[in-house]
Amino acid sequence: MGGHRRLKGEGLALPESVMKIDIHAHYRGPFDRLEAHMQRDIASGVDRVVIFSPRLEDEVLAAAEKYPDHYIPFYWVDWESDTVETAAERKARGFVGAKLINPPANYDEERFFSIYEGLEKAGMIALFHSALSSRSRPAHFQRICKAFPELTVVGAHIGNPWYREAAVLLHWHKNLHFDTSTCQLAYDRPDWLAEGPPIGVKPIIRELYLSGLLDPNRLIYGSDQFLPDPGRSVTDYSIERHEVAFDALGLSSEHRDCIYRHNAARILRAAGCEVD
Amino acid sequence: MIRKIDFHAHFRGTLEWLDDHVERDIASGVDRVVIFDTGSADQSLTLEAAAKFPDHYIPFFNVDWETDDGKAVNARKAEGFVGAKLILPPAPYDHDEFFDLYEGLARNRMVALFHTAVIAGSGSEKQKKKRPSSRWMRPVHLDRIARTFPEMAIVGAHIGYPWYAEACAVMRWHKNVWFDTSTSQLTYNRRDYIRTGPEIGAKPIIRDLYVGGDLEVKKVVYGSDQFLPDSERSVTDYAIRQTDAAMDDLEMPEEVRSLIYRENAEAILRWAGIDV
Repeated sequence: MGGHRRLKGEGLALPESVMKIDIHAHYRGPFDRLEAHMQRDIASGVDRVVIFSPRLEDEVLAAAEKYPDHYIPFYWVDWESDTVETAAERKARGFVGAKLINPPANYDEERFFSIYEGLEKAGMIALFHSALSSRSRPAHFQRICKAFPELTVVGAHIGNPWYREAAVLLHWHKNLHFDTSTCQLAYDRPDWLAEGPPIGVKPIIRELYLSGLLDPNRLIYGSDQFLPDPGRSVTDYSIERHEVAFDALGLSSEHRDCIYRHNAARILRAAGCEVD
Repeated sequence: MIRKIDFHAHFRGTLEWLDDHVERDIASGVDRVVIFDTGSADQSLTLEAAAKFPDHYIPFFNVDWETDDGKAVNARKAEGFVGAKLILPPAPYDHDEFFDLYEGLARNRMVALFHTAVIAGSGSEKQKKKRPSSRWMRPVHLDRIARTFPEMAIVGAHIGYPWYAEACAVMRWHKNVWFDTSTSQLTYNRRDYIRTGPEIGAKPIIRDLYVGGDLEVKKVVYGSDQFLPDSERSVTDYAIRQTDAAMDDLEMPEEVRSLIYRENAEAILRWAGIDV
């Protein structure tokens, strides 16, 4: 720690930190552009990325096989057809976790419990979309976390807009984490405000952090990027916003490292993934 | 002075005193008012009021959840209604059983004005009979409707009180969703038990959402929640004073006030075929 690096084109000096793990990235192809994207992410300080796709699962696996030190494959849960056996089958193929989104009912309905039971037995991570849709509220994780205490649950987007609900649940369930995608900690000054910093930490995030509910040991960095992108990477943009929010919160370098890497590394290792 | 459109007014079902009320509202700076009658089964007087003052009143019908479906909406459109007011559903707004009704509204290019807030009137005979739940009227229940009918103009009332952040997330992600400010949702009045501080201002949570860019000013429309006609007074002056005080406290520029007081409502009504 201690040095500073400069973001490309931004002129913004940021403190050095650990290489980062991005736990939330959408794979969309084409496959042949992946390497260039990976090099850009590494240059930006991200050396491991969790990827998933609803339709290109073979390519997700192929990406992880070709770049085993960079990409970590999650499979996409099919609410109609997945059974208690599905997770083990996917684990055998090389997947480390599952992405869950757009359930046909609330996440915590018992008809989905066989899917969660399978993930728990297989020791896989369950990464739930948890934002906006009424079926995807953070509150629904309570039943799941209680029923499956060995299942590692990651809620995406800190439950936006239900941050408070997410933070309270985080406090009470050790097997629950939230990722910070898509720049949930920060706000960009809206056009209609003439004054103030161009980027800041969201007031409710500050409040929850200061009150001790938003535990930095249980937050995980995520970008929500779509990759590969031929022109650019969202990673620089995303990291800049995280850094500004971290600065505004007075977050220690140790806690930044936890959010950027150590918390993700811990759960990925527990899921059988080799991560430093 | 910005000429205002009031998107939320309860019509009492009488034409008595209406001339005086119109004059008072115009003198207060309001030249168009959306009216609906939530108190009586007969909606024809709402149309009569609009026919008597076609340059002032814009008639919405009050949805009867027991009988109204897509066909009934066709008939309402033919009668001259521009939109619908929806409140006290027998299940959450996004329940499948209501989608035929919503399809009818979308097909007829009628504005859907949903009550989205904790409901007043606890203990009334109507509510004892209907056993309504405020939870069924949360802003997040507009999410599924907005996704299914992206061409339909949807307005949630009361900025989703008290679920302001939820309302902001819904209007941010759906181009076809707006929220109205009734009943003075932007504003607080200092309580008796608080001895110091300004007597009136913007609610802290509203300030946070506004400064953070979540309260999207292009998606907010002014509403009073007045009951009209009133023989002696109009709530309009009061509602505008309250709203102005919050806008002053937020140092809202004139162009933003104009969006909220008029231009956003104009755009919605234009979609519905009303040239304001």
